[in-house]
Amino acid sequence: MGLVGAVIAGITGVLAAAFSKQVADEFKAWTPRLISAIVQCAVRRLREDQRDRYAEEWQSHIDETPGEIGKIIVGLGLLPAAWKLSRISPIPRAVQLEELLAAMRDADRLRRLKDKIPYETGKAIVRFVTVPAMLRIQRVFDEANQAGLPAGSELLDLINRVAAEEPRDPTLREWTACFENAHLAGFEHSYRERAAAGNAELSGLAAALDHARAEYRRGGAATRPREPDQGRG
Amino acid sequence: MSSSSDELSGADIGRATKLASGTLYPILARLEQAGWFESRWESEQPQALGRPRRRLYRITAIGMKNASATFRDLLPAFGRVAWA
Repeated sequence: MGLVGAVIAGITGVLAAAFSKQVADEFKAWTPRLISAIVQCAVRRLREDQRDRYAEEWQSHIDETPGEIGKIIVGLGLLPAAWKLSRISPIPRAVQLEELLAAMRDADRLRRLKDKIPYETGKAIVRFVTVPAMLRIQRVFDEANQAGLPAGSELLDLINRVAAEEPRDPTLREWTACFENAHLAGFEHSYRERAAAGNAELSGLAAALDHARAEYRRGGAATRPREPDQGRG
Repeated sequence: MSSSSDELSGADIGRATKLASGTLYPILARLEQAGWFESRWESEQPQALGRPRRRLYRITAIGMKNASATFRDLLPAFGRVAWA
């Protein structure tokens, strides 16, 4: 009886070994197709302008990853990566800042115009200056399905917070003054309400602000605001 | 990526930082957009390489400066990064 059991166990072991090798071979044969399908699925989630780049970059990442299981794990990770990447605004933060600052300077110019000319005459000029400024801000905030809305809201918070910490920084003082003088309270209120959902953009904005400040200190003209005493009415 | 001349692929950075691909690429994209990183394709063509080209990332001077400042802020007296 013991001998029969041992024979059956031996045969079962041999069959299991052969079968598991077959399963492993099948798995190995199908893995490249499976990974390719996962990568394609991830790439389809990206914006049109991101697809070519990441299709090639991710395929190269998978090729560099050792082991079939490792490749599948990397491939599956690309699905959430694609979802997150598709939500990043195509406009670089530094450009958003430039646009926003330019719009604020327009609005500040408007404030000074309003102070100097009679109201009735000024109304047309007010509209003439306000509409392009508002459209410009709207365009920044409307990019990527209004992904910029939280960015704008957090930008205000961030600048105010940093300016409070560094009251002597002329750049921040100037930016804060732009916000205060810009007569954007109503607009700010509307997008603050719409942006109440989250503040995930804060870290990106902090980086962009640092970048813009570094550019400014290096003398870059693009993000350079007016001198603090210039044009105050 | 210890100096501004080092260039690493996403896979290299993932191995070094132990970040999963789902976390790594959005971070790289944001750092690139903020100007802390820049990237380029390998100079050889895929046909010559026999594989897809790698995208190589490099930290910029601004990125290096800001990263150093950030790490300095995060390093307490005993010399290790601490998250509050």
